[in-house]
Amino acid sequence: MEYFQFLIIIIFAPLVNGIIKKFKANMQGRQGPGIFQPYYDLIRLFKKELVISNISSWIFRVTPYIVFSSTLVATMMVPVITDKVLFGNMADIIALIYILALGRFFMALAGLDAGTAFGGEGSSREMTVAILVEPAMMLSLFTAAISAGSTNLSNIVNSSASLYTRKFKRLPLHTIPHPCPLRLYSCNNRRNRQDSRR
Amino acid sequence: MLGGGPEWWGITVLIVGAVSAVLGVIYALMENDLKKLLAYSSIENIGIILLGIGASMLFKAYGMNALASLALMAGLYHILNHTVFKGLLFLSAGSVLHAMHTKNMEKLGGLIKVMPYTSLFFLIGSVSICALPPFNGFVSEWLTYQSLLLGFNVPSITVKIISPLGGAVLALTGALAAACFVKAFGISFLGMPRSKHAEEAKEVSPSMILGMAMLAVLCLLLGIFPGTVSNIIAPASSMINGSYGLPSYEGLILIKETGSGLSPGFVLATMIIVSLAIMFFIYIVGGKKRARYGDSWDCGIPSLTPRMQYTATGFTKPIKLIFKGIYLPRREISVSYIVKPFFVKSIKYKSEITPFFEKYIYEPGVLFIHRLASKIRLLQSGSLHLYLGYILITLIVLLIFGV
Repeated sequence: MEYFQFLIIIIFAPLVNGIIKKFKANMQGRQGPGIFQPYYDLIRLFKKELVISNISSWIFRVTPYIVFSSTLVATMMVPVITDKVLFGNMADIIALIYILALGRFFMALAGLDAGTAFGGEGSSREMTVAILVEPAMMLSLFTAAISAGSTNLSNIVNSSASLYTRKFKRLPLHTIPHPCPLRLYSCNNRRNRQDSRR
Repeated sequence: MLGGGPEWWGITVLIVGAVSAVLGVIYALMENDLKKLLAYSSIENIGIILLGIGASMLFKAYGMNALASLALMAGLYHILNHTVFKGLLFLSAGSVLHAMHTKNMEKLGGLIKVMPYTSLFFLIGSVSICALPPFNGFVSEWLTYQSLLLGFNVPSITVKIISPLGGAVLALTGALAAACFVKAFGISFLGMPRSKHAEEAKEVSPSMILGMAMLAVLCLLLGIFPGTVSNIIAPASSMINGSYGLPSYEGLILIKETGSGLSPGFVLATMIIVSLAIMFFIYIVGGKKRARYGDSWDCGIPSLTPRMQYTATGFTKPIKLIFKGIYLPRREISVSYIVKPFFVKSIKYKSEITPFFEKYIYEPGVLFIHRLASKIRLLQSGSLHLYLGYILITLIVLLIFGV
């Protein structure tokens, strides 16, 4: 199931992005691109030729792989359709943040690598925004971690799911606004299982 | 002191650690001198160590020996890691100084081409010190996070509030450190050389490279075998705080109270496998890639010069504006004219931050001691007669009070 989950996330992530873009465009009264546009973009980008600056070094060449693979490793840690993940008891919420930070670190370095003012500006901006966002994000993740008593993602999802099923047994869960979609998915999942048992 | 004490001791150490961590890295960010930057970053790391030790003292005060042992282990692990990566960073900064005769980042740049080994080792040191997986700094910071989060189990409201805040401070410190070392590595080693020296620099001798290589390998090993390392440290922390068996299997550490686990080696292996898979995927989708090399985009101006690059000062300018309450930045612009106000002869621009601690704490202290010393110096006039007089007076005083 967890292998299946990893594949599902990878395959459907661009679709979610496309739907969000379409929805946004409709909200603003625009037509917007089709929901499959991100797939076409990805295929086009994968086919593009490489153009590399003479000034840049090997950092510029390894950065795409580090960013892409760190994002994929982060994907393997996040439970979406089941409460189990590929990383098992190594799927840690703090590790998740720091793996994404690894990608950001190299992206900022690649920005400085080509030796232009634009790259430097982007990299400076990226790190500044990270400074503002990271503590706030950590505190909100701590809330989930403390209430679950663990920083393991499966445990967090499990504990919040059981909390919800206890409290809102008869409520339609989709209507409850919640900042963390991850939890909603999981508690729906848990609820369905309990319903089928009954 | 580590063996226990009232609650407020732990809280004090925790707060001192948090303040030290944030202020250390904030001043490191503004530094353009490579070695001074590393020195400020030591202040930050000692703050992180104190966070672990403070948490340990708190747990001890409430008799939670196992958790106290865990938190102390986090502190000790970070001490070990800091020794290794800070040693590595200072050695590579030393190599840069040796090759370039300057530590000023604004005069470096492009060193990755001429000093490939030194740059690689500085990069490994930077990734480790920013606590990014899979290197060693990550493991000890993760343990510190865990001990701070476990602080919520302490039956005291103050501790329940302070320890997760300590975690938030640690996150802030981590983000600031990442910005700091992106600047240190990116400005000094990447881009175009900013001076003649940087263009003509030579790689340092093999013996210097070997010294850095050993520490760099140690950075990786301490990162991917956290279990082994924590088993080595465990006796020391359990001696003070009673036993804590951190169940660990060479590459994986697991905290049994919470079920949180970590394995940087596994992350590294997965990332390598995933990268290979991506290369294969791109090969299938896009076919064989041939890279085209060209100059960086120069906005249509005939050629790009090193002066057009982002500078170290420019890189941290947004951060200086955000934290201006701490930095108290000052700037002076003086313009001299040939014919006012149309023909400008020269513009002088000076921008600096106020070194708060140096200006308002150390300098008054030093001044006071100097003044006192100059008063006391009157006693030592160099005249033998006066000294004989002192002896006589002392003798008389002793005789009077002695009787």
